[in-house]
Amino acid sequence: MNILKVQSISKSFDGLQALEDVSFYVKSNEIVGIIGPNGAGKSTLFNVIGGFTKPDTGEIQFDGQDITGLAPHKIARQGMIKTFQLVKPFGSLTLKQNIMIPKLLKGLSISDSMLQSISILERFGLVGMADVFPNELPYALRRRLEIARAFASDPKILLLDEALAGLTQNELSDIMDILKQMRHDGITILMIEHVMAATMALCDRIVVLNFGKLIATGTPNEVTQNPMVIEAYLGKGH
Amino acid sequence: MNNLSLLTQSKTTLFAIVFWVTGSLYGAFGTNSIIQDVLIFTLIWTGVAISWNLTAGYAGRLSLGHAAYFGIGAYTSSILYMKFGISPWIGAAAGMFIAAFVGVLIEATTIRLLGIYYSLATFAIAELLGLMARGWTELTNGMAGLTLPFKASLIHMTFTNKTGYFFIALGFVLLCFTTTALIVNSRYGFYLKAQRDELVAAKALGIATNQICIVSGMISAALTALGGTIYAQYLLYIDPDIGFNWYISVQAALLCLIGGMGTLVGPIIGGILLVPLERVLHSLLGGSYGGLAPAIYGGLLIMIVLLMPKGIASMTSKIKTT
Amino acid sequence: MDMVAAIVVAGLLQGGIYALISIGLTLMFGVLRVVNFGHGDFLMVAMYLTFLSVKFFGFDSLAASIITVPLFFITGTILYHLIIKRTFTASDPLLAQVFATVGLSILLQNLTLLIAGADVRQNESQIITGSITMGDIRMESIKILILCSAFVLGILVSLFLYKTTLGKQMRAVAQNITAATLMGINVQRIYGWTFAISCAVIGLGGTLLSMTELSYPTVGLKFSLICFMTVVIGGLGSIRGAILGGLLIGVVEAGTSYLFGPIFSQAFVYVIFLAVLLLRPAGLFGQEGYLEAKAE
Repeated sequence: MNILKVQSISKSFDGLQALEDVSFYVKSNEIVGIIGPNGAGKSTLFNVIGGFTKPDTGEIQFDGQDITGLAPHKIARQGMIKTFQLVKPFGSLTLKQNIMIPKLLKGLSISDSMLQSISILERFGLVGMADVFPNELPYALRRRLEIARAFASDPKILLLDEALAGLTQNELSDIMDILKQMRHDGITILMIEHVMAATMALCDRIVVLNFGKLIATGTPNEVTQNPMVIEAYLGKGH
Repeated sequence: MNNLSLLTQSKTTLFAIVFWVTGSLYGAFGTNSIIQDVLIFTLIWTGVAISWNLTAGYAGRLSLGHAAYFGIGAYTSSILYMKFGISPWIGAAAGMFIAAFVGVLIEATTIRLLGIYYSLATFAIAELLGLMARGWTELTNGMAGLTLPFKASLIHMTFTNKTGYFFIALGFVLLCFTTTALIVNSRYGFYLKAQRDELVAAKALGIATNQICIVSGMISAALTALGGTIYAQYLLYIDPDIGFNWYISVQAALLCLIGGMGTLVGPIIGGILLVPLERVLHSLLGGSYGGLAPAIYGGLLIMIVLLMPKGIASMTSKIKTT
Repeated sequence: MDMVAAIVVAGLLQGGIYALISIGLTLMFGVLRVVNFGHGDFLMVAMYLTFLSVKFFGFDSLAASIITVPLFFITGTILYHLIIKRTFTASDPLLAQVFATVGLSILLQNLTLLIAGADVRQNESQIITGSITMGDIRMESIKILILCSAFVLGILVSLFLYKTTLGKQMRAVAQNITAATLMGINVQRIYGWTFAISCAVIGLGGTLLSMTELSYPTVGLKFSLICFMTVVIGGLGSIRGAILGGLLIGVVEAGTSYLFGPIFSQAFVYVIFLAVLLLRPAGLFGQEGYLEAKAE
């Protein structure tokens, strides 16, 4: 069952074609990775899917609904939650309060949200810092907070933008465990990544972009052996 | 929150409470009308500052045009009173309603403007309304202003001594404070702060940021307008320079900046520290040295902004407010 | 037809004034996004200094620029280091700049009030006097001088920005502070120089302005608003924009004033300003303003 269908998405900015006729799908409960050299259009694609940018042509279907052109917060309410490459914690709120936001948005009372926030912090190993502010945390923990906050929204699909970047080996395996556990809980994950080894290990399927075009999809094995993909990253003659 | 910041934040709150309990006793029973005058001005500007703080400190929309709402409130009630004999209480409600409407219009149109562009737009709108007040003489009497009749009675919101005004102004501040506190401590307070800190992330989680900004702007506008009505009734006079003065916007912001933006007690502290100072300087140094008082005020302003950029109340707590 | 020509000419001449006094703000706000709400008050002080020079040194008003320009340059540098530089490290630099410069504005207004009194003043040049008449249209010589000065100054500043090293460094800082720093540019020094030059230009503008506009201690706000509007409408960071924007505003103002009266024409300009902010924040000729003004 396809939870996300991206159909013929094109987007240009001031004459530069950022995305050209990109189509792919994501099955329920999959982990799909989007890779490609810098400037391939991955972040633009995420922005279009999440509603932050309107595509010039094409359609996005989420859970059977056409969400093309919907406002980002409405798309989020439908269960698609996006995280950001540069983490964006709410600086004037403590960790606990950050996690409360998605709970409050679900309609829980302030006290219930607080309780559920604590249990999520526990699950993500952050409960000791519940009353700490994000700017007091090291970067890797802020990254974890970002994912925890997205998880607290009870998403159907999680859009992760380079969530594995800049992490040590230990931090990386922590996050990967968290993601695997989320998939086990029924969440679909779509992730933009540059950290190749982890991506190949984690993802069921990979989508490859280059110069705004989709040049390959398939399992990690298929994609790493695809000559076009190799050429995109390493140039001709490899 | 560590114990120290909780304590010091309580200190400023304590200071505010002590000041106003004393002040209220004086306002209720005191006889020195000069002191009562200072208290009334302090209350009015504090209320306006609290209202500004809602949209600027909490929602992050730094309006430099709140004078627009102040003027709308002042003129609406005054015009209704003078031309149709309508009680200023009803006029106040009408003013709040019109200001709320205008606030929604302004916030909705400028919702995508950020930073200085938003501030400049709100500034221009306030100037525009001031021009209207100057030009539409059939309605507003233009530069001559409106001199309100002195008919002392509760229903006319006019009093022979200052005590009545004091209580109205006090009620105004309590209304502004309670409204803000209720909003800030509700789930909407969370949403406001979240979208102020990170607009895009807030949207990505599902917060309807446009709506809550517009609504908080609307409430802020309505409360500011009430302040305008009370001011006009206190002076029994209003003109475009008094009602739509750029310095009203500046002062509201200043009180919050000094006291601590995005905190409940900040505007109150700012009001306590700045308004009496300004009035004292004005009365001591006005007249033959006209200009010295505001000059000192201006100089102080610069120094405070540079030395205490986060304001006093926020310096005493670890919460990052801006 | 003659009426139209007369109005357009009057508008251009007035617009020339707006253009001239806005060039300083283009550098500061347009290029570097530093907000100075005291811009108009700096102009006012320059105007008063011109009166002083005339009175005490017997200079012709024009010659007073020998005093005002260097003085403002030096003062600009001092003000930058004392005040503006410190706003960058505040938690909200914008607010800090707004309020520090508002404080400065209040200070300047009232010091001037104290020292010079509240009288309205105006000056005249002894050298450039009278007017030139073309057909039925009469143009005051001083306004023609100002219009020409606006163009000349605009060209000079543009040349400076595009041909000199310092100018190029300024533009680099305007476009990308991080990259500029990485390339070895001392950003603080650039900001300091920009502020100083901007003030010097204001000094010159004020001197010329004193010969055709009324001065009084509180006139600053009016000028500040005009300059901000000119810079935004013309296009942030664009000298050409400041000049053309000023001329456009002048003509629009003259036309609507003739048709509907002065208050309406002022209001109309505000409306155009708002429309530009909302619909095309880049202004007529600017580029940089566009992306940052609006949320996605």
